[in-house]
Amino acid sequence: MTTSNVKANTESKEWNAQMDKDADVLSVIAKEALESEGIVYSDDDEW
Amino acid sequence: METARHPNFIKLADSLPKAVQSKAKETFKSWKEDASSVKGHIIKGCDRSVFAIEFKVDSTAYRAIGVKSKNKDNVERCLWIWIGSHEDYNNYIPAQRNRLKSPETEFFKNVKVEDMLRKMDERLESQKNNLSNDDNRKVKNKEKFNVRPR
Repeated sequence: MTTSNVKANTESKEWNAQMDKDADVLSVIAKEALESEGIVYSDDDEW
Repeated sequence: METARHPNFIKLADSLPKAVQSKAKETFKSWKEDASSVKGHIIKGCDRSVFAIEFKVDSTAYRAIGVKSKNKDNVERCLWIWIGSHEDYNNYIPAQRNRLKSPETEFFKNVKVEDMLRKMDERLESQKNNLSNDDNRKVKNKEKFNVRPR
């Protein structure tokens, strides 16, 4: 594994840990988003 | 799987550089075809199924956050709620923490719309009853004192 790959993996793990720590906020944001009106789900949705 | 993008997600995605938007589209397509082909992270400790998928553009990592739920037929679906770089995320979370700490948000966070509407109905009903009681009292007083309307 190259040095840049190791660095990228470390950064990725750090971000994962950070997101886990932010679970309380992310839960509320997710709840609000799910309760938003006018969300239309589709099989063809594209970014 | 049925998916949707929250308006906030659309706004954030539109503000990203074109190269990032194009890589995001590519990553989303791969995820839809085979979720395991994309680097992802299921966020631990969330009371819902919240997860992130990651992609890179010029060695900068970007993530999109999605929340899974089930439709009325119990089929899994996904709502994309956020997209951005690690730096964007570092700005986003503290801003959201502050927003959620505000007294108005605290209040509305704990109140369900149905409960609020029910309470409003109850209050209206009680006001109506008070008014009719008031009218009854007036009629009784008129009778009692033999007051005739002029």
